[in-house]
Amino acid sequence: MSLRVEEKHLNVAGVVHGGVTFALADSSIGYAIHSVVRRRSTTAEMKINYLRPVVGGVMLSRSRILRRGRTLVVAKAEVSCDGTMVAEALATFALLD
Amino acid sequence: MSSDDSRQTRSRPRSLTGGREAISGRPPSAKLPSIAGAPSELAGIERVAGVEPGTVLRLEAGSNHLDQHGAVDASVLFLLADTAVALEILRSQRTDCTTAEAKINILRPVSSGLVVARARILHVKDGLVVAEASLRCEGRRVAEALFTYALLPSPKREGAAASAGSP
Repeated sequence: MSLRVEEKHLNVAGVVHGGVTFALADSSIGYAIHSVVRRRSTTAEMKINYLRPVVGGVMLSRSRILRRGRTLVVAKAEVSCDGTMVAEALATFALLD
Repeated sequence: MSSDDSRQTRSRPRSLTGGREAISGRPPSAKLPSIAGAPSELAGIERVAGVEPGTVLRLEAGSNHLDQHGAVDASVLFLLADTAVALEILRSQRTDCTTAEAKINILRPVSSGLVVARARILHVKDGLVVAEASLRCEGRRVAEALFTYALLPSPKREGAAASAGSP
């Protein structure tokens, strides 16, 4: 999933708000799980490390599933911006049905 | 605030945050400082007025916050927690900061109601701050978040000191 950075995504310091990066990673993991597992899921837990500030450009989140259990899925997202890694997220999603 | 809301506040039915200074009913809101950033304002996050010291924010969960299952999206809860912690650090440390690392556990789905986030600083050392945010909705704990923030030099304040005649 990608996101073109606009002014509404920035905090007062002029860099992309942490919540925006979180949303991008969370969404891409959710879609990755749905594309593989084909079941409804929801975020149970997520941890994100911010590696570099983003001031503009196109952010890209690449997700992959690390472990698929009966009720839980562990997945990872790597977020880059114009080729530079800017954040990494690790999430646990709960399968709903 | 509607008349219904003011009745609730007077009768103090339930604690929303469950903290030491529990906030009851429908706490009054105040405008979020602009330093919170555009995403927080766009999401409709407000400050809870009259909570001193400390930072407590609130968000009325609406249809624009929901995911495809009808629950408030984890990103929205994260944004609320992140903003609360950032404002608490700004208030207590008087310097700019940025999120270095964050973890959130979503404990219960929230489909509607007032979500209240209370931020608390746990540790400050060597330019890093560890802080937590507890999110409650209608008295029930809905999420817990733990953050590491990096403190940043504040160019605005340095500039202000220089212009005020520092040597």
